[in-house]
Amino acid sequence: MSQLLSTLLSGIAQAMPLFLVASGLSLILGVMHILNFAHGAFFAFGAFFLVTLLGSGAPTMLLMVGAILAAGLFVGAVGLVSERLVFRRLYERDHFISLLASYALLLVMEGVALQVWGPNPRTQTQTPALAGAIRFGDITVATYDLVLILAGIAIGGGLWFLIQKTPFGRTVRAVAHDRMMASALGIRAASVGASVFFIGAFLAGVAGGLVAPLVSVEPALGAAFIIQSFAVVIIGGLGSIKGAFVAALTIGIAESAAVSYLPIVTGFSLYIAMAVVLLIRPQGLFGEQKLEGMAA
Amino acid sequence: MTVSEASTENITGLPPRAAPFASQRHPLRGPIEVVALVGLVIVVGLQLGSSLLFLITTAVIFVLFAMSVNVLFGWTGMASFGQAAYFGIGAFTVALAKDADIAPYLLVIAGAVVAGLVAAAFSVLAVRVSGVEFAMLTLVFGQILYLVTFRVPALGGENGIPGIPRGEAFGQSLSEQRSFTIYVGIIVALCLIVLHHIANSSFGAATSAIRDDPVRAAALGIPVKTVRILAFILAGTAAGVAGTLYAQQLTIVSNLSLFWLLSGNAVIMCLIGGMYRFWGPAIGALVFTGADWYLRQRFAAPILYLGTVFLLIVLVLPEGLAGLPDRLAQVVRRQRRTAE
Repeated sequence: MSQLLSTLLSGIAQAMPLFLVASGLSLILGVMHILNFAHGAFFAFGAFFLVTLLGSGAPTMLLMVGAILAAGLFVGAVGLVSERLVFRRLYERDHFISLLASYALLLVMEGVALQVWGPNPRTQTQTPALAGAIRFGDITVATYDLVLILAGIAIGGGLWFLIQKTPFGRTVRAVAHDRMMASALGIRAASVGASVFFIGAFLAGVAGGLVAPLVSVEPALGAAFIIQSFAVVIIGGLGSIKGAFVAALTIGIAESAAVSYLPIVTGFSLYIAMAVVLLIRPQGLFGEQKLEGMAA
Repeated sequence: MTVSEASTENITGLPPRAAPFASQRHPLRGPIEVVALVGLVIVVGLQLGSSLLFLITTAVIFVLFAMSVNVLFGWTGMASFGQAAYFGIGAFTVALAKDADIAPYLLVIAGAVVAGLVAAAFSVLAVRVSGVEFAMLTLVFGQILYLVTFRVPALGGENGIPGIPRGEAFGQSLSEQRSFTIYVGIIVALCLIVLHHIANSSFGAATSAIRDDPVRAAALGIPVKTVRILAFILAGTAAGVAGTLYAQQLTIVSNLSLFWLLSGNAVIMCLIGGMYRFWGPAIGALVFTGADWYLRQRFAAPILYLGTVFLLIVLVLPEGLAGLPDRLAQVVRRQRRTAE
């Protein structure tokens, strides 16, 4: 029982960064209809930025939190710039072209990472306050896992509030539903596009910052993460943030359970889940309609 | 034509003409073009040292790979980011049969068949979705195969499978690079002739109809799903051939031949050369392989320059290098008109 709970918690913790990346990807996909390959690079930039900012040595908790937010803002700015320089020029063109452009952007950003940070992997020392584990009765949970879960829920909730309950979220949903009609009604679709890119990139940057202490930070990190995020988006349904949440949780828990109980499928549970979903519901779990899909 | 007109034209990615790949002017034109192109590359290559000859052979193999990927991208409008899967399957077929005493060209056929069968099995799932979902799904499928190589010890993981013999073809040992280059040239030329023939058949016309407007194509009675599946199998088979040749060329197969960045490279080749011209991807593959080799020698982060060039081509010249003459002619015409 206690092992089951530990497995569950660590699975949920693993799911959170995946959810943050996939929800940004899904948001950009749902609103702008752009499959952003460069999202993985956004994520990697977040991790690199955090490592550079904190340098070697163990940061204090406050510093860590500040650095993660700064990583989000930095990557958000990168997202804004890429929207302005690349994607804004392509809105009138085929989605096909923006797909290729985003792949080109991934290569450019990976090249920049290679040039700036070099090919050698880096590690980020964990804050001492978050390095240990907490015991509840006979269940042991890594402290940082709890941080990941809380951060994921807080950010996911914030995103839901932003999209569902604010005037800004209404304009975003309107553009997602029908860009041309929204423009005709006076919504500035271009600025909504820029904001969506900022938010999506911000989420990826925060996820990168959150994950940095757990992984080796290297230029190929983005490419590795983007594939899992794609699978999450396929399972959850294109453009559905709720779908991304459920799919990321399912995959995180399945993966964690695989490690404990069925090591042979470790690393594959994601793809098995995807194949099953595609066979039964090709549009994904929550991918019925665009409008419903945006309901967070 | 104004810039905005040019960009609306690209909304559907339409090439400027309705015919798929206009070369029906003369029935022999296609094969002659193929033999001339591949022959020229190889004749030039044979004059060079063996390391350059190796590079040129790689480029010719990638010509076939890029052309196979373009069956999906340029012909049918299916954005697959997972064609390395079939390339890799071809390569691994050769690698796994390395101890069997089979003629190398028979292994090429075997690799093509295996790749085609896997493509056929996967296509049934893949054509259930289209657009960006198709792109993601193909990518993910390729990545699954990549991960499998780490799990199955026989596939060698990161170390790959070394010691693949090139063997003998028609009494000629292929371990000498010159004869191997000619062997590759003959096989690639044969494949390209077949592809050219298919591109100009009614099937080729059906693929471009689907690319331009699937709904209209269906209304015209084209079996959209079947054509998509067949295009996917064709692309997978041709990619498999390229993969087998690549394995024989390197005499070692690593799982990098399954990695999704290889799929991405093929897409770049198609785009650099031009997807909506039959020969575009071939030009792109030659340019890409050369540029990649050069940049790798000069810079620590070649991907930065490659990516930047790719991005600029997407933004400025989406019809690729093969579209450059038309684009220049257009500019000249406009200049002349404003001068009058």
